[in-house]
Amino acid sequence: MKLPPRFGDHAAFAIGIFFALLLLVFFGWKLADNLSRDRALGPVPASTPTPPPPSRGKI
Amino acid sequence: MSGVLTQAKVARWHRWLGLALSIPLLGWVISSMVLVLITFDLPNGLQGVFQLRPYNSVAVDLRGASLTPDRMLEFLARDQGLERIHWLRLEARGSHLWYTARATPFSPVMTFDAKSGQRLDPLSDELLSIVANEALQGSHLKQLVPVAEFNRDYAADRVPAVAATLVGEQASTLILSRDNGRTLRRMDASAERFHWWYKTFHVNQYSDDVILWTILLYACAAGIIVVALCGYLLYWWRRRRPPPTGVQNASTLSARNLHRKLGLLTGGVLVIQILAGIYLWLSLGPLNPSFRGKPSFATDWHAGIPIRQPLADPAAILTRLGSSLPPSEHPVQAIEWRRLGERDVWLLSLRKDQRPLVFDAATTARIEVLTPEAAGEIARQETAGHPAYDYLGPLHFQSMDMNRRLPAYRFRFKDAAQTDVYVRQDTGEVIMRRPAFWRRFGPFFATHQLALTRVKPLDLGLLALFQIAFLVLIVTGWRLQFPGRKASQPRRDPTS
Repeated sequence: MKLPPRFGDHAAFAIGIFFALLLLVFFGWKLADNLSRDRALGPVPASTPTPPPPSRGKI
Repeated sequence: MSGVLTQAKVARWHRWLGLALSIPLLGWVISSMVLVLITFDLPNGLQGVFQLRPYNSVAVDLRGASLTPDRMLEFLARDQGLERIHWLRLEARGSHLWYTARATPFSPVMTFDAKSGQRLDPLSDELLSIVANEALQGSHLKQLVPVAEFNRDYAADRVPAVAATLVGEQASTLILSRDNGRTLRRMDASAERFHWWYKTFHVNQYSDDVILWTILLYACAAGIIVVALCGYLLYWWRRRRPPPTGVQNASTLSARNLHRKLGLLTGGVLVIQILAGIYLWLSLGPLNPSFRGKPSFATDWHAGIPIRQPLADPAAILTRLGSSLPPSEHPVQAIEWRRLGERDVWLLSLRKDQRPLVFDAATTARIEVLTPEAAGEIARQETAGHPAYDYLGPLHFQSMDMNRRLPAYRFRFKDAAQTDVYVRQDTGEVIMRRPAFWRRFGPFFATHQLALTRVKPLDLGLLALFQIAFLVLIVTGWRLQFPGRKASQPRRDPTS
């Protein structure tokens, strides 16, 4: 089957736009998650014990 | 459909702007790869892992200070016009005994000779050399270079400091403040490499003039977005035309094909990465003081030790605490007088690499930790507008001074920036401020790095694929601009 002219360009354009949209959706999801987690941090009782220090990791 | 002239103009802009901006883009792409490689497997991130030297190089007894703390307060009242101080500290550095005093939690520290009362800050290179040589185990100073350092704990925009290059077991660079030799930053070889690549090639900052270089950086970023959009526009206009053939040789033609396809494939992602990067640099560059919570400094801070208050002298403190201190063959390294809420306390450092022991000055009882209420009140005194706050819980937090994670409390203040303030549980010291602006950094950073899955190899693989594609885009763009003499000859049709 003969592909239409510039088929490769059209495919690259479609995939590129898909990637970009995917990245935008990812960003929106991360931002929404960040905001909801931040808002969910509320007052805790003063007696809450300190958690053990985490092992050294990337900060 | 636009006219032929408009299309030609857009094509020209795409070509020449792209050519000019390919240099900074190349720097961003290559430096991003280097930065990822440098930070790939660091055990403690850019903060590094260091062994601090536990004791002063000369065993100096703090009781050797000729001046009493009361006398120091008199000097501070008379010469500096102070009514109160945040803390007063007596410590030994080499064979010297120093008093250091901080007027407010945000001001530079003042340093005085504890025998003569002579003001020592800004510290001379000689005194800073002593500090540098005593900083890390098995390491000694090679050279000092004056620098101006941004630091989140100081109200001043830049803190006068030196970059001390250390050689030996822990080769590193320490940024030491000129006020009292405090270590503002430690960089091992990886952190130094990161810093150099980041400043030189990723954010293009070639001097301390942040605004100038940011304008240039953002102009380049905006230019590349324009180049990408022009590329998409050209594709859209030419989408129904047959692909170009015949007038170019095979290698130019394949470069053109590759450039076009990769541009269409990755241009959108590049634009989003750049937009996220613009936000990130806004946080770490021009708006860094706000990002680090400096607007929440309480300029009307009115706590601490009243200047007329009598303070126990070192000999009295060491006598009263004698049985409470663990036996050691080394003298006490530092004594600090501080007021925590309504209590006067003494902080005794038995080792420089460990937390001080805190004692109630009235009862000599050991204070292991402050209550969240007491720590929250201390933080409130140091927060602009003294707003109400919520206690968000305990955690461990990295202390730059001690180079280790220490127990802290986290509070959220109801100020305009919704600032989270982290306070050390033992000393009440505010060690971090994170406004809501800071807390939004993560999503932008993940998008900038294409860290979609949180599975490191997968994310890095994806990033590497895109970075390689950008490199190919740049190289093929150059190939199209400079086809060479041979390639610029029209291709001869082999069938003719």
